[in-house]
Amino acid sequence: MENISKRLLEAGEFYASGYTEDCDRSRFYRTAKAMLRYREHCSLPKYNGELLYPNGKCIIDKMFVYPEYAFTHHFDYESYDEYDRELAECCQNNIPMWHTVREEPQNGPIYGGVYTHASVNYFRIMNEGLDSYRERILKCEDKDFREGCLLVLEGIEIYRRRCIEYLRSVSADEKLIASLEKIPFKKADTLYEALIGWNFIYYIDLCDNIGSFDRELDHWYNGEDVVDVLRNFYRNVDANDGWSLRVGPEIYPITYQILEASRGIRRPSVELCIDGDVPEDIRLLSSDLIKSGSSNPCFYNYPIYQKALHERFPKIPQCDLDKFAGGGCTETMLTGISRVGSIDGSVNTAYVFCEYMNECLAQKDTFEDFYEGLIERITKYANMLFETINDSYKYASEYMPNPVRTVLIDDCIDNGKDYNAGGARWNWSTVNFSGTVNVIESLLAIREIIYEKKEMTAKEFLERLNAEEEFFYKRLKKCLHYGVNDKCADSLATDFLKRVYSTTDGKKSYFGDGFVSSSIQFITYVRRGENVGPTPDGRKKGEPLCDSLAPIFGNDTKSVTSTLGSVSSLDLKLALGTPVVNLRLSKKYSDEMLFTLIRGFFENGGMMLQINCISREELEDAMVNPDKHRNLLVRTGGYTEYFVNLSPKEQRTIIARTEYDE
Amino acid sequence: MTNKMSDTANISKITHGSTEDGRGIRTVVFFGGCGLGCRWCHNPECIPPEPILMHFENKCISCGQCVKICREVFGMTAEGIVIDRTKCDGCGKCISHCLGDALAISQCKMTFEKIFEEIEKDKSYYKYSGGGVTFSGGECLMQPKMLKSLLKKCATEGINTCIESCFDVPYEVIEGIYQYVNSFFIDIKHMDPDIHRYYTGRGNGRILSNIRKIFQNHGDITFRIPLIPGVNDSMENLEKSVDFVASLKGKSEKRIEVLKYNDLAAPKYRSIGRNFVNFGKPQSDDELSHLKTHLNSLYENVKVI
Repeated sequence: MENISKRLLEAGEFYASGYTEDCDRSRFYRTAKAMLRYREHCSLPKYNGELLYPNGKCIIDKMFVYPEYAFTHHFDYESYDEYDRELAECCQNNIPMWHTVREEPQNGPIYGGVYTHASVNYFRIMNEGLDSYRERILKCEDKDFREGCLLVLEGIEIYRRRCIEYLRSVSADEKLIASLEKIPFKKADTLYEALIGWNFIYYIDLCDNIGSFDRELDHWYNGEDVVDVLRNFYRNVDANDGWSLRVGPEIYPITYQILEASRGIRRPSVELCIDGDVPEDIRLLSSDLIKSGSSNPCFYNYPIYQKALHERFPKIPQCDLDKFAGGGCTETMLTGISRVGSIDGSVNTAYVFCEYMNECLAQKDTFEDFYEGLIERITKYANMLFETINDSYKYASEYMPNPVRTVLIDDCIDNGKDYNAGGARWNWSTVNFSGTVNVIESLLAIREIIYEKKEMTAKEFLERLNAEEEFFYKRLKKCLHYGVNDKCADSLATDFLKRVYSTTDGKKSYFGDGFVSSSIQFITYVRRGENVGPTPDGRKKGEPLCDSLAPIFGNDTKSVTSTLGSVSSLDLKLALGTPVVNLRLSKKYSDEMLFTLIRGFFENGGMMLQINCISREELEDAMVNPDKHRNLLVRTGGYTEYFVNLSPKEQRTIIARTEYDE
Repeated sequence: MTNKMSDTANISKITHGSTEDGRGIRTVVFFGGCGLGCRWCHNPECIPPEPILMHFENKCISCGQCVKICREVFGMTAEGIVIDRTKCDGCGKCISHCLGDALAISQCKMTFEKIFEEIEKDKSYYKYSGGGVTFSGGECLMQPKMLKSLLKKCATEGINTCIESCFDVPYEVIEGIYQYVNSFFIDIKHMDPDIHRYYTGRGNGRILSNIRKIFQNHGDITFRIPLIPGVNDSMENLEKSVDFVASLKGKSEKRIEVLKYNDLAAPKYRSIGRNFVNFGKPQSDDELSHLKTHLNSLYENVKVI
């Protein structure tokens, strides 16, 4: 193997080379060695006079095996033919790859292959310095674990030294060099040093989330203006398709700068937590950002998330709950102390519904029978998903350790346990239910047309639905809808959400604290609709599914308060993983009215709200003239994206959203 | 006075999330039936006290569902659907079958509980916006029993209330409810009684008298003057209207809103089989600006919208 390792190194396969060096050691140690070799040899990003370093794309080198935060490492199968076949095969034979153990059909009733986002404990690293981590690591009993963690620190140190040498060689800013001489091994003493360190560690973690930001940065704040530094950091997050940060509900002086710096930048997605009154200047700044096309911030109902987390995980103390922040799109996690599978997998409820409806509708004499059968079918698939996820975790915990996050996320070191084997202080798995609102609307239509008004038989209903008959679709659209704040419709929606999203209750995860449900679709709502036949919500075969728990666009035209009323009638705490709600408002909405909607919605139980203020005309023009709208940002699924980067299908779903005028 | 389940009111519609009918976010309850018959009325379907079948031609796809449901009222010809409204009893069955959403009934009977349930839905939004419920119409004061019950209930529940009215009702009706009303919008259509009668069907004597009385008793009144080209938009009439408001004595701040003319109600007239009379073009921005300057020189608290 020594020979293979050498050959891999010569071929530029730094990571694989490290992994194959010490075959008699544990996978944890070998993975740590792989990262060490990567950090020793990887190319450094170019410095162009920026305020921070590193900058730009994190992974520059082309390697068949490359490190990655969610799966530890990936194989570059897309460019397989470009690699030396023998060495690529050698990697495949000697290096495990994260995979879903059960090969479920990826476009069927369940999908997903476990995934994880996280934010490392930036605050602790900056406040204590990694030198103090070394002392804790030395106390670990397991030799391979201890030495593996030390290799992580060694790799960070080597990378830092290389960065400094490079920066000196290009005569970079002395202040930047001096800061990097100090952090992240010594504690940061100034806000500037903390931000240099934040950015550096962001790259060490391979560019995922920033976590709870303002309450942590406030520790160093001393009246400095760091908007430019923050913007530099955000550009780096954007360049790496990075994710989220949280601010609020306490407003610090740095909060304003964090918000202002996000103007016009796609990432990070900024989450503004709200608890009651929002200071007027934050209201004005937030609505100005949204109306100027930033699509940031989105809004979180802080107390309700806290309550829901406490109810779900009563053992978590308040000091840990305070570290709440969305990660990835907007998934619920605790900064620096949690391992949250997000999203570990999904049940495509629309797919299951379609399968069940075509199979069973004609045999069910009452709506109740039909409904119960559907719940049973979805529960069956949900249980199958939980088993699949647990099997995958069993595999991952044995084969796919993550030494970097083990060191940087608490309490892996103190527990002497790998991050991917349940070493973090809190661990849960988030599962998603896609197509929820499509199913709710479909149930309403079936109940009304077949069982209540008896307008046609189930057979005729299915024939006309599957033939996509025009007049029949118009009839479907006339059914009672979720989204008009109607008690009768909303109570069915509430029950469905409760029955389906509660399937995670009491389910044991392979390690840690169980499962939580969510409704968060990223951009998968388009792809997941492709193999779903026509559904009685008026959706045709292959059309996208709903992108959030907001009503189906076009069925929600009564008023914005009615739309929000329907959503908040659901027990959204059941979707603790996060219940995404997208809303499009006219730019004419006053700042005051915009926050009135948010606060009213939150008072009624709303958990999060993503608002876009972009007109249909502007979006339509962007489809035709993308070059004119390169910077147009939209919230979709649960994250922010350049509108022109979306596929035409995705773009059309955003254009179709109902626009509410004041 | 407590309403029972059996008590109902004719309600044309209830809209949510309005920001144009008073302060903040409001629910607007449109009562059916009005004593006046203004020729420019924007809610002509609310004028009669009984339901009228509305048919929006632009939405009709000639699916023929209405004919299947009710052959007495509907017929199909080569030109499309024909309607005999004299045979319609307002049952509304046709509406749910109409595949183009082209049919509607102008009013329905609603119980106190049902109306209040709708009002209550947006309570949180009222709280944060300073909004509440606006009773409009038609003429909400023509159904005083239900109105009073709703106003009292809203007062108990801390919901802000507003009334939009033409005030052409016996003063006793106003006297019976004003203590439960947070604010009024009162229309002044014309200062000349004869012209008023010609265009609205009734003179303005009772209206102006009611205004003088309420002004002595209530502290939050806004007067609205809809600008109707060739009817009430002469400077002479507008000056008189402003002078009238300026001369009022009482508790309230005197606010006037002059509203730009528009012809948006045309489809509604066609939907109930009535001819829409277009009084002219909407006033230009220059005209409105000039008007504002002039009226403000007489009385500063005039807005032109």
